Amino acid sequence: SEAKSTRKLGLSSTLSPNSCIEIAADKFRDTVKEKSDGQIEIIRYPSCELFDAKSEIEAVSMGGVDMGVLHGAYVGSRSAILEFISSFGAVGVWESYDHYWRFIDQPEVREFVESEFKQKLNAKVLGIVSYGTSLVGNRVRPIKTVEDYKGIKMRASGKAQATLYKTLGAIPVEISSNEVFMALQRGTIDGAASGPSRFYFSKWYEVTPYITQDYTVPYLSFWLSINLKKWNALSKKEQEILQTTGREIEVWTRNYVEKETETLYEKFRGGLVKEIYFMPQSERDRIRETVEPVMHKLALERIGTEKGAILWELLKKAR
Amino acid sequence: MLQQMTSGNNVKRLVDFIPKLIDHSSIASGTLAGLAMFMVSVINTYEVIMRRFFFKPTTWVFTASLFVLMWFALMSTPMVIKNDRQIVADFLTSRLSKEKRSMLKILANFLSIVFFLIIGYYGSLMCIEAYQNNHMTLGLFDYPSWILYICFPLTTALILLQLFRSTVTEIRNKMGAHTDINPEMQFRQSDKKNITKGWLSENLLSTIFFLLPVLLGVYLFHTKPLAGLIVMALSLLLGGTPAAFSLGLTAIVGLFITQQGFSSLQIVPVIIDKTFDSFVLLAIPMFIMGGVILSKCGIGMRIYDLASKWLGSLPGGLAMATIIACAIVSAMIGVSTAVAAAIGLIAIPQLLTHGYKKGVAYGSVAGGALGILIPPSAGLIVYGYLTNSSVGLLFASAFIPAAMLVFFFLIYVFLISLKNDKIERLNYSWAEKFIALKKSILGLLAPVIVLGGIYSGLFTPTEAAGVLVIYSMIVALIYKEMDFKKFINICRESATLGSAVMMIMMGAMILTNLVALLRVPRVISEWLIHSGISNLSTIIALMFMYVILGMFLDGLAITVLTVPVLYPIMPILGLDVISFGVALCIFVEMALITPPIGLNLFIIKAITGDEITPIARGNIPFAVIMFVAAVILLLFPQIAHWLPKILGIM
Ligand code: NA
Ligand code: NA
Repeated sequence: SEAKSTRKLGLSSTLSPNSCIEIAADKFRDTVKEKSDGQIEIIRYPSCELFDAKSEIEAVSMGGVDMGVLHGAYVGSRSAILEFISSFGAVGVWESYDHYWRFIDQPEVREFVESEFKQKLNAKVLGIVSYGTSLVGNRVRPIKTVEDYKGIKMRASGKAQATLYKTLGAIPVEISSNEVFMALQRGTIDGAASGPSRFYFSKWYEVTPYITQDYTVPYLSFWLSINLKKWNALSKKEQEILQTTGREIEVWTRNYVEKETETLYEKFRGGLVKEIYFMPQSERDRIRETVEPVMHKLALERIGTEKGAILWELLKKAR
Repeated sequence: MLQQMTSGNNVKRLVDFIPKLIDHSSIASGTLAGLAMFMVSVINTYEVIMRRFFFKPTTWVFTASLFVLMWFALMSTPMVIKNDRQIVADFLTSRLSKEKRSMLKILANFLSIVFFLIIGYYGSLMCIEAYQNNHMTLGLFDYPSWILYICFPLTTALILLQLFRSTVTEIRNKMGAHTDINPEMQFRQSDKKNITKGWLSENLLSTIFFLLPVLLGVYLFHTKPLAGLIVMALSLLLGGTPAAFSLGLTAIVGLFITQQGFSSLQIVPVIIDKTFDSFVLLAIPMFIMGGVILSKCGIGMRIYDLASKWLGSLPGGLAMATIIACAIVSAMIGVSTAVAAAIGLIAIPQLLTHGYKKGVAYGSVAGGALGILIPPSAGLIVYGYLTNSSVGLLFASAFIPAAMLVFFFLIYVFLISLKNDKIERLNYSWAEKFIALKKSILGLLAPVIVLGGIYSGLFTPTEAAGVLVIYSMIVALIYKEMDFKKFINICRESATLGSAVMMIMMGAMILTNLVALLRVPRVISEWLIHSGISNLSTIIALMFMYVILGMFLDGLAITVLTVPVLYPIMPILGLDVISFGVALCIFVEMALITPPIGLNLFIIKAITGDEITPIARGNIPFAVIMFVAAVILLLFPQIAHWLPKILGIM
């Protein structure tokens, strides 16, 4: 029998249907309902139904919607510390999923997250949800070495990514997300980075015959978060249910994206693109060595020397 | 005593001076907005050149352009209000007495004041918050967000002043009119009473007729939110409140009642920011500006001259020439009314003097003006924005359907002209034909540059709009049709037209947010799935809904009201998003020529001074052909897909 819900919370998300984040948000809804015996009802607003990635952040911090799965890059525009922790701020320096996950699992990092969200977004994080790593798609040539980046026009969103591309000799270009496909197809830009699911579901693979996995991409993570006022109005028991479910979803997405990525790679290998290239460790190290000093400097500049240094140490410690 | 009089004079001077100051500020603000949009065209053209030829794209053009878009929309609004140029559905109110109409206008102004008070207040809060917390924008070139958000307090202040000023004028005119009309009766107490009574009851009546359905809507929001939304939005629209404010205000009332009171209104400026933070939407004011420049330098005349010299010798040749000329000009201009105006002025007198019947003459111009269907198209840009589809893809998809429609029109006027033996055929020498071609070649190049540039990858559709503005400017200079005064007028006209569209987008997006919060698309789709109604009957019902809505409402209003609800359920209905967008544009074209409200009909009326009935009658065959074309397109979406597939973008 259905128990009458006593608590209703809206949860907004902004990704394409069937992507990991949307599935995770639905799963969060179902698990919370189950754990609370139907007392807490999460109302889902999927796939930009209410807000886009940018306005969702304003909405959660003002209480225009109770909860959201917030985009790492846009959260980063509110706080350089969060930009760094979401992997964008140190893009190019991460070694692997595991490195990144070890980094965010450090209690010191979580403390930073807690206090930054409270101060800058008036919200609380329930889980850091993985969307998978990005790939670099390219229409002119396969990217196999650092030198292959020279002179190609790359779509960049955000200052950190633009800095990275400039360091590698590529030309960062800003293009609105609707027009990326045509811009790639017609050569307005040469390449773009995004998650494998974006390449697959938006058919970018048709216009980027060369796909590379290297270090130059962020490990995309989203913040499952709740407006602070809403959070404080919950009972201890309700808070515990949301918090533990958030953590469970976090772990679930890490496993899911790895599987999803493998499945999609198989599809790309199966003839969807001319070449999918996994950069060997030696070349990856060259990229990292090239960009690390620049990204380090940028981090200190944007975060401030004291906290920037602490975070950079935590990044190195997690290696 | 003397002192008192001077101070009295000063007060009077001040009373006269303040309204003038407000008017001048509004015009200045609108002019500045138009100039800023012109600068956006300049920098986007610069960006294209730097990226393509010097491999040095800038980091700031994208950000600066978006920064201007929000300022542009809000800064032009005072001028739009001052000149009474908002988009209003006035087919009911235009039949009312002057007295009633002005009362409705006062009420509408009052509601608009409420709307902008809310935007100004919550927008200012957002600005202060962004300032205190150092919020930055995201992009290659980032800057503190408050610099953008400060446009909320600054522009709404002027908008409110202008609304207040126009309300006061309206009230003063009302009082003045009431006493002036019957001056000699003023002394007779009983008559005065009667007049006052009549005056009162006229105003009271219109107030009640306006407010009752609005209040019913407010009441319904408590129990049946969707019904409340529809009743309130429609009664505001039909009561003569500008479309943008009708939608926005309905949304605000709905948010307040169905969500969490005042705290849910905080979201309003967030949605406005979201609306204007769109590089896609930015294309509209620039395409409008390009069209305004081209039509002001007589492009319509040159193109019509060309088409009539080349086709004049065929049976029905002049009517066919009119349709072709409309199609060509439609490929330069993003809105159909501008096309109808540019061609109608020249073509209609020509057609009538050479023996064509009125109906064919009126229909060829009003029906043939396919500015919204033939790319560049403001309608397709809005549709792309609402459905997250690529504008470039939509443009390519519209080509073949548009060509099909033009072909149908040509067949129709050809056949109907065979029966008419009064028609003169015109023969021109090859020399004359080539002179006409030479005179219009710069105009003909405009669509080639815009579309060629988009599909060769030289620029994005939005940048194409900027390039069109610069190109049109160069053409105007070559034709010696440009001076400073004309340029300022073009800036003002573009700002007026562009911001009227942007304001509707703003109101519609706030309403869309409420629609999503109320989960309307989901309710409808679940109902559709469970009701057992077949997809085909739903689609047929939809088509008739578009025809009926199109009779009364503006095409943009129809698009922004229906697409957010329909888009999520398109997969369930088995509708293809791209071809449906093109079909929708055909319905929007049809709305322009169906009575009682059809903007193209009104333009022909303005040009010819003829009654609306013969104009509308002449356009009915064209409307029927459009309907048939839309049905064919919905049945065979491949027609739309063919060209994009060839271009490899689909
Ligand atoms: Na057009
Ligand atoms: Na109509």
